[in-house]
Amino acid sequence: MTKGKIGSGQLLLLLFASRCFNLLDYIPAFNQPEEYTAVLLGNLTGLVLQALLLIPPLLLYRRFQGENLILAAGNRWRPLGWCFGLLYLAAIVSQLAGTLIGFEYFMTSTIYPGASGAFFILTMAPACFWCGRNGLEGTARAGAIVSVFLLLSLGTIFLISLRSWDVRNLHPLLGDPLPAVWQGTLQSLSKFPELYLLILLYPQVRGSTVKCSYGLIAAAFLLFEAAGLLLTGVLGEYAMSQTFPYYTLAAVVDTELIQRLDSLYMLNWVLSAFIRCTLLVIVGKECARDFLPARAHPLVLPVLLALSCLLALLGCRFLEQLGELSRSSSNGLITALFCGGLPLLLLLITGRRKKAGAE
Amino acid sequence: MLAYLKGRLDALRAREQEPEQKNVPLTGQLLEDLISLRSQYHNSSDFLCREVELGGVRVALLMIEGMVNLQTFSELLLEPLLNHDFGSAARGEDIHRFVQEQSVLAADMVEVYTCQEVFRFIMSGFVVLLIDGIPSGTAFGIQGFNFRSVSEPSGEVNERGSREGFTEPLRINMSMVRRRLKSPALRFELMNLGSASQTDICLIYMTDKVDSRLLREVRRKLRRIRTEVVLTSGYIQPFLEGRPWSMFSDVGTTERPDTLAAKVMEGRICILVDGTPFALITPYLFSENFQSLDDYAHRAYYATFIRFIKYLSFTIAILLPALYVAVGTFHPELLPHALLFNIAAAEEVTPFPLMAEALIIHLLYEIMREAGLRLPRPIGHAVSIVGALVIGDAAVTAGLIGSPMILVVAMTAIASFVVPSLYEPVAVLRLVFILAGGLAGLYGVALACMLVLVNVSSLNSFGAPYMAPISPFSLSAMRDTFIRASFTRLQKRTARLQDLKGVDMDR
Amino acid sequence: MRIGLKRALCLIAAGLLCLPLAGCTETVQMNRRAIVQAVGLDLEEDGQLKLTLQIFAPAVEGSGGISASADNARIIQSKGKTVADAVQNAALLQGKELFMGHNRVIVLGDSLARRDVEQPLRYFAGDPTVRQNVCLALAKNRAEDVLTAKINQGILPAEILEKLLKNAQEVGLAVHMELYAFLKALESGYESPLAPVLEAAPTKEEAGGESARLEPVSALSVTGTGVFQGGRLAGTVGLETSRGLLWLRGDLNRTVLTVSSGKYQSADLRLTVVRAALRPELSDGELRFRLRVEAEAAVDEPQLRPGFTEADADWEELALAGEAAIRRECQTAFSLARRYQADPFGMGSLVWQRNVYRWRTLRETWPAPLGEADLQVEARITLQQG
Repeated sequence: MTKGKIGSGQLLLLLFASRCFNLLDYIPAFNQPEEYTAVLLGNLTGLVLQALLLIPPLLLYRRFQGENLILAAGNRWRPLGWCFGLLYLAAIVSQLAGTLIGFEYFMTSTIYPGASGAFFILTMAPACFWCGRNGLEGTARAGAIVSVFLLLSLGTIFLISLRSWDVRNLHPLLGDPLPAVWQGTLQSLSKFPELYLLILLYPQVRGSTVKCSYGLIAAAFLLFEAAGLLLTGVLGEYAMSQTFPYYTLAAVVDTELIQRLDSLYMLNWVLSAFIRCTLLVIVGKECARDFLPARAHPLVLPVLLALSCLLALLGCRFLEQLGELSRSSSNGLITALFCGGLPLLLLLITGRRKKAGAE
Repeated sequence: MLAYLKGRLDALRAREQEPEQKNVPLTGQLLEDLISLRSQYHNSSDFLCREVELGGVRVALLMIEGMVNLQTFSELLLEPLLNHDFGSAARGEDIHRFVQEQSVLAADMVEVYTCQEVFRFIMSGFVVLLIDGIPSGTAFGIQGFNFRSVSEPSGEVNERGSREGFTEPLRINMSMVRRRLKSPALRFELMNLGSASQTDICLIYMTDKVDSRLLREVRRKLRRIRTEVVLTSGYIQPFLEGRPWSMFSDVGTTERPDTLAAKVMEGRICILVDGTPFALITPYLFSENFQSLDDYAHRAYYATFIRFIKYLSFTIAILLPALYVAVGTFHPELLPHALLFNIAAAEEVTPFPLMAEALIIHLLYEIMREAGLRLPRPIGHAVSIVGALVIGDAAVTAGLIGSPMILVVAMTAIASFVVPSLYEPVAVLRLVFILAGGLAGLYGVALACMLVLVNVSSLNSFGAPYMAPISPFSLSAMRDTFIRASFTRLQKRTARLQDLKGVDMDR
Repeated sequence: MRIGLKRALCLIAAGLLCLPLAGCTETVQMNRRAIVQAVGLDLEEDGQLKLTLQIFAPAVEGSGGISASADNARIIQSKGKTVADAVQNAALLQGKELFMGHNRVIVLGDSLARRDVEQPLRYFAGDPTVRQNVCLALAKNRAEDVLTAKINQGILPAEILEKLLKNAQEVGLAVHMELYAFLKALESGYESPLAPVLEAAPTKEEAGGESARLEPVSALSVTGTGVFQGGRLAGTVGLETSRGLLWLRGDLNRTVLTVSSGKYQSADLRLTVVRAALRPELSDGELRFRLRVEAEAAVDEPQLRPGFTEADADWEELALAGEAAIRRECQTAFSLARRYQADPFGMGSLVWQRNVYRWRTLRETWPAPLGEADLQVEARITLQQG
């Protein structure tokens, strides 16, 4: 991977802006558990799990200073590098397609009901790819500005919604707590690609990777918990019957000056989706270049663009089936695998080889 | 087709041969040199040659008509030469020695050795003295050409700052800068650009503040310029820009010597170009478009307020028409009730969609603005009256355009003048955003904003991120970006480019 | 070809290729939209829904300004088997696309309310352009009468209608209900939604009156609150009981209590600061609720009974009378739970919060247990002297 020059604070803000997409994209029908209280509790336990999952990649980075996972694997054993590269690339492409699908679904179901979904995919994807060509630095700088805007606008929505907040809407868990909280924990991990994007971007960070990593999960946790408490306090169980509960929250609260805050929500949506897609493009490009031969490099972006658009368009066609897949708990396990499992495997493999070499 | 190609090839060959002909050294044979000079100058009628005999030695004084101060020429050069007794058997060396050591004009004297140098100096208003038997000439700086006097710059008006602006002659501009920075570290480095125009340019920088890599890079880029003429600083600006195709330029301009002095003190390199009052500043960052010298003349709270107004105006200038079109066409539910009713009532009778209205009226505005710039002053007033009548009143009364649209355009136009240095990108981006908003609503506007933002954020101005210190964020630099801190804070350390985060320069 | 020129050409080509995509989004110009301000739904005798829409039709004067003195609203009425059907049929009656994004009020007719309101309201909740916090109201008789009533204030009648409903809650006389809150209560399964009742007063023509006098501002008034259970109207209550509902829901910020006592024929207690806390108590299998109300009030227009003078003024007596009034109103409102088998106070939520295990069993039969519960009201009014 080429050496970049972004600060740890910049990367943190960039990933935070990307993470906001999951907040806005939360669809209860496509997720478990069914009670939002379980989601809130699951976030807390999920935070602990995320903190543990970050230990192997941090140790790995300390051991192989300047190299990311794929390069580190490839330098030890070329086929291993290929495996890692393909796995991460597949994860990134699927996340990219998933983001585009989620984005398109919101836009066509809520804001532009009569519009064609292909329009949003075929405008967003090329725009993200074009910006991804500019490299990580430009995107990180733009992401820092966008994240401030996101914080301010989300903060505005939340502050105004405090007026409608009622403690009577907060309830303890009705069902069996343990399975519900476990589902909430897995959900806090699912669709969290920022975790493994972060570890793939370690070599590009100037500053403390530890602070950046734990800062990200802490910031994401605070955001989700605060948003969740507000959502539950304003909408109660009604939130879980909404397709986009956070959109409903923004639509429900109002001030005299701004008639509807859902416009602000929509802007946040577009910005965070854009940042996430661009980030996925950049990391995907770098991943591919880490294990593909040099003559294939010019084709990486066009192929990624075509593949993600195709997958996104297909996904829009089979949205219901995708929704079922999305509800599956395995989503959280996939993130755990890419964030902690594969780095741990590499640590063990390289640790054993080192030992064998020493002997 | 073949004949055309042949003609182009011949022209290229001729151009390649010309420079060699001009670099002819002076032989020392006066007659031969004069014949050579006259033929190279194609016997142009403004070429003046005064031949005199001093002590039996023939000398020639060469100048261009209208470029020399004739009084100084007569009193301080010709008269002393004619009145001095060189004897009857003087040699060329005697006259040369006299000129070098005893001439009143010895302080501003340059030796020239080639025909090209002779031309360059006489075309810069010098008088060149050629002495028979001496294979060099002596150029005296007694320029007397007419030039515009120092006046207030039209584009950068200040309330409490100096009223001096740069003029066309390079040396006068250099002196204005020197008067403001009486530091021995301030360096002027002269260069020559343009194969035909031989325009003098001057690099100005502080030797103790400038980054050496920056200086090398600027010199390298300037040396690569191969244009024939350099008439304004705009000719060399694209060669210094990182991305000439970008909407935003990372090379700034200024007409003010005080602004230039301030920029030089921050470690930048400024370039003066002979023949134009606009100096170039490099590197140049986005946030500098919102700074002016007046900010430092006002109190801190007011200066901060004005900064905020500028940023807001820039946002309004770019986004207001697009937002109006997007919300009016796709998202009218976002408007407050009363505002919606007024807009709906106004648009009830108009024939065009909002996007078409916005594009038409903005293009009309640009046409009027351009007309107002080019017209002579006495007629310029008529343009403003016609514009107000045509657009402001008649169009609305005739039901072609809604009155809210007029208000939007007026606010946008006024807002765009608050930050004049960004007028070019604002004018074009505004139309792009209107198209995006009219075709895709707020989604289109947001997407376009992101594309522009990422593009601008990717710009690097000689190793300095264009969006610094906004992003990458430098807290210490915030004292003079969004806010203008008090001088007790500002004086603690002069801001340097190298101190910003993300800057790839020597600290 | 230079890289920069290549890039520029690619960008221009991409831009031009994007232009055909512009047809993928539906654009409706402002002058092609019929802006709906208020919606009324009635159930006809033939089982069809009658939709009454109040739309903005500007009376433009001069250079496009709206005339505040002219009528800027028009009525469209259509019928259909469902709301969607009726809306579709309404589009046939006029040439513009109906735009619900600025709808301020949804009025439900009495007949429809007694059948089922959930499905019609779901139509509006499912429309992304409709504001989720649109006001909801119940018509005493027909929603059509409410929407066609004459209102001589503001630019649009619906604007005043909305303010009327908000005002009723602000002065503490009726509940203010929004669409999302109504559906939230319905969906919970244990909470009973409410809606303010609007009544259209007879017009001068109907009353046979003369038209020589100034016209009143509005022919509408809020007369009480409707209580729903399971998506149907269970019954309506008057203004005093409506206030009791507000006490119990904790939605009352200020109001005026008119009381009388031994010494006072009448006096107005203007309550300015009101704090109400409702707490469930579960003990020995019994369910009890305790409401604690604390308020600060100022006394307006005290009228002593004949035989009493200023020297006999007794603020304490007035405070006690006020407290008694609060207790009475709360108990009357609480009796609705038994009468209508409803929980319009959100007490189920409080029980859930207090004891989730107990709630698991009570939830099955709720709100029936509420009918057997007791309510204890502790009221304390502090009168501001002077």
